[in-house]
Amino acid sequence: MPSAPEMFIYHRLNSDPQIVGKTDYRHYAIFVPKIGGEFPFVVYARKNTGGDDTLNSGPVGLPMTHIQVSAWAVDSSEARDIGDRIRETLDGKPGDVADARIVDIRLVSETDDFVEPQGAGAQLPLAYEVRQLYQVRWQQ
Amino acid sequence: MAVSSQGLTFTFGGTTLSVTNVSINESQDLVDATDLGVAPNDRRIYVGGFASDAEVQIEYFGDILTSGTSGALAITGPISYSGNATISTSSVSASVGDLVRGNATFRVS
Repeated sequence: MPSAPEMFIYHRLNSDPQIVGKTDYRHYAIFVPKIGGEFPFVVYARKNTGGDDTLNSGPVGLPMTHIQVSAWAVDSSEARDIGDRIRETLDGKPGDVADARIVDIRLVSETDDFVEPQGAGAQLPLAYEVRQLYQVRWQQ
Repeated sequence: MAVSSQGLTFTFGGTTLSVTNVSINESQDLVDATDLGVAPNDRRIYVGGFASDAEVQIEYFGDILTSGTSGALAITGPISYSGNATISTSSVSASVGDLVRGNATFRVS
């Protein structure tokens, strides 16, 4: 099982009917597997983790992690719809899921992007991405 | 030789605080004892030995400390310092995405 806060995001995505209705549970950590990698899908990955330290007792135990959540689709409006729904599900909505305790989660940036496969014989279609970066403070 | 700040413990009134910064400031008034016997372009003469002021400032994680509260202050670790202290100023701040942080100033006697 993924560890917190990835577990939190994984469960939130899987428990939202509107997201699942579009992605059919294609929510992947870090990379998209070759088998079952059809569109649309969501990929989430940890970008960095930091924390606050004290002089006497070390880290305070509430690390700050930035997690990128990307919604991919072959249709730009569908990628946008999924991205909007992910934002409504995650942004400013901390909580406890499984053994993950999230005390603060906030959207800090959002970017639209696309990938156009290059070269003859390219197998993938033109794909659109809504890329969101969340700042997550969680109980370690 | 340089010494790491890590491992410093700050205790006030029997409570150990999660400090992130500690500053100790001591000062003492000096009397200008320069007289006519000092040669031109020479330096002034100062006399010390009077009562000194001691102040400790901290930044920490946690709730506000009540100003006017007195207690035993002890700093151990890479710096050793102690005395009876009274909180002269204190404040606490809470910001979006951040932890609750406080800072306080102690007058030490």
